Amino acid sequence: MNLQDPAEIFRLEARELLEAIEQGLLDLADRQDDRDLVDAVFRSLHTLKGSGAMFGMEALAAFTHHCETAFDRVRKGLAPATPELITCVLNARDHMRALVEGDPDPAVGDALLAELHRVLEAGDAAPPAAKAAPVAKAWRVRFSLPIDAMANGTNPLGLLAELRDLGDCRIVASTEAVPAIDDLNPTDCHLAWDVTLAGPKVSRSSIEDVFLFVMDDMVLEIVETGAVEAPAEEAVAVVEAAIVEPVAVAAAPAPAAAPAAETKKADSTLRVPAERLDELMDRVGELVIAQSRLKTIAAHSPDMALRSVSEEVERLAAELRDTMMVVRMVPISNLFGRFRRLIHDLQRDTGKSIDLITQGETTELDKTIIERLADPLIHVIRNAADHGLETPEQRTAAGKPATGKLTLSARHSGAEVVITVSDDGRGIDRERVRAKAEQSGLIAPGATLSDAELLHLIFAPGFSTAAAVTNLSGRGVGMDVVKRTIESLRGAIDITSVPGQGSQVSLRIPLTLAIIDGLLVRVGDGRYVVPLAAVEECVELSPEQDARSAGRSLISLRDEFVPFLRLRELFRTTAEVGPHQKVVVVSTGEARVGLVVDQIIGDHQTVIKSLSKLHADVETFSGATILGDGGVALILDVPHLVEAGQRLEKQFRVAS
Amino acid sequence: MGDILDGGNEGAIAFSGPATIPHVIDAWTRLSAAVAAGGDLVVDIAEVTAADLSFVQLIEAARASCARQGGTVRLAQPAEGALRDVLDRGGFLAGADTDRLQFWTYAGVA
Repeated sequence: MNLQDPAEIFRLEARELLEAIEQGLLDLADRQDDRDLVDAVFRSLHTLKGSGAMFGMEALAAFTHHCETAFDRVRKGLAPATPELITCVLNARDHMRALVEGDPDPAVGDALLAELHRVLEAGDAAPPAAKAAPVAKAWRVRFSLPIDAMANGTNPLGLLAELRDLGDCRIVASTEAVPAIDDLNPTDCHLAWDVTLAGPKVSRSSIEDVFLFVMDDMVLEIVETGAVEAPAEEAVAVVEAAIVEPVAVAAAPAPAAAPAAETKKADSTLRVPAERLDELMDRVGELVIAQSRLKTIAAHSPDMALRSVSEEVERLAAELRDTMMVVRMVPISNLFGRFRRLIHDLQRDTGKSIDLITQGETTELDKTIIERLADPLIHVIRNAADHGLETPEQRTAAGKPATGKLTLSARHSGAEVVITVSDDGRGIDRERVRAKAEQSGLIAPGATLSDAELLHLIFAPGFSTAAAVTNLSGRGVGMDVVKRTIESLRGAIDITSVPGQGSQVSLRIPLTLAIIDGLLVRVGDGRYVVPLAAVEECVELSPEQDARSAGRSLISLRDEFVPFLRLRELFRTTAEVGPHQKVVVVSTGEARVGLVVDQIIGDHQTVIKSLSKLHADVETFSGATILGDGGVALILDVPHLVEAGQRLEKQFRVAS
Repeated sequence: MGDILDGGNEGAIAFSGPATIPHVIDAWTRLSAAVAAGGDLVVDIAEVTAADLSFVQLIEAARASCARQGGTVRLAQPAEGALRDVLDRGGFLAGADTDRLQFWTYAGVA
């Protein structure tokens, strides 16, 4: 039995419904005549209203009722699904979300309802089709609902009320299928009903409509019993004589309904609170640390049995870690789906026509990371739509299609996921970026910058090249948030831009935040971890090379000069220099830098522990880890070191 | 919420406040314990302020389970207000089951 807080269950369900409503409406904006989509949106609204009322959220139910009514009219062909109506209901959906989350603004609700009514009245110009004179008939309806109907928020009384609205109605409940109290899950629905129904408005389809949103899993039998004058009891008696046609409702929906179907079948999925997964991940982390200690002890022990157990534990811990990582992974489509709405709103606000193309939606990423990526991506997409893409007139004048293209893609690259936002707009105006940066004192006038450095200026705090501040972007807040968030995720940003052809912003994010494979190195007396994914190669730095490169820290690697940083100097180590220094070459994207260390100890499963708040502004390290012998090693922040290396290279370039 | 009271061979249980699906697990826990105790059972619903079908289904399950054990369940007072409304709308007071009608409404009881 599920003993979770019912209100919380409702909120989870409501969020899914709201998501389905939004996606349905956005699809509908493209395919306004799609009946299945209209039905799907209506069903979701109807379920939301019913569940809301059932869980005491009267305001939500009352508000949703208006949108449901509007869509009911569309469903019945009384009103068209105009773009105005879709936008209006989309806005209303946002208010419903606020109502669900308990943060509504009543004024917004009233304004939305007024707008909805205005849109509906405008749409009422189309007269409803003339109805044929109805022929009164009598029906017998026997049904039981899906067992989880009540738990999912369906109120059977609401369905019964709808049946009553159809005509003369007599309802008898049956409790035959209700199990003994010990076997009863009290939130399940075991009740069944036998309904006799008569009236000119009643038809098979009107009865089926009542059950539209629970049809898939319910038992529904609709039998026409003919004579309308017959009293209900007699009508029951003539069942055998009438056309007996039980409806196999499960087969009723057309296969084409599949893309719009919002109800995700609960295959064998479990809903688990994210905190529990985090806890589990912590435990796995502790286990990896303990295993690392065991490995150290076993390595110094002559006991073969101990070594064998240690190896077994190491294998199991690694497998557990990998399994745990996969459990936390969710497809990035969850995130990409949200941006369709953003694009819809951006088109409205900018007057630009934008085509959103998404690629690689099945790419999986840690759930926590996905949540944290939402904000930065919104900023990047807004920026691309507002500054990157041109107006339709400008595009046509430049010989481009009037509709701008915005591509959102995700792919795996080693131990990273690369999320790219590219547009086919005007590209970044480098002269304006430079002028603006000089004007705001970000760089010295005439400073020598590489192209990448120049483009990266757009991520500096307070930077904006937009001549006009719109409500979308141009205030200079936002893009620096992107940089900060990505760095806090230990990721990096690449940016490229071709004038007249568009720009591309790539966010490179490590696959997981909790445990990484690291390379353990020694510098002086301290030990440090370099994330293995960033390591390209390790080469020996002979004393001769060391002496030769004393003035200019560049090492020649296969005819290419790579700048290197002496970590001894960086960390101000006074311990004696060993005779066999090594250079660990690390890279982020295109940029490479060598790190000179005293010794390479080996690979190390690194459980990342964040540094205390006191050390929050230390940029060289991204965290710390506990070693097998109980010691602590700091984890090097590769993007920052590479940046430092690049600065170094630039100094040499300027000097030479 | 009340408790199971010991009334000799007849147990008693009282429900109060909302008897709706958010509260039904709690109600089920208490009622199934009362049924398991055996004997006849009196259910006091005077203080029930709101009800839905989950509560009606629960009481019906208790009635059937008690009957199977040779006991009976009766209401301390006929259903009124919100509960009566649910029974009406849910079709529990219609049909040929006069026992059910009598159980919930005392209809036909002098």
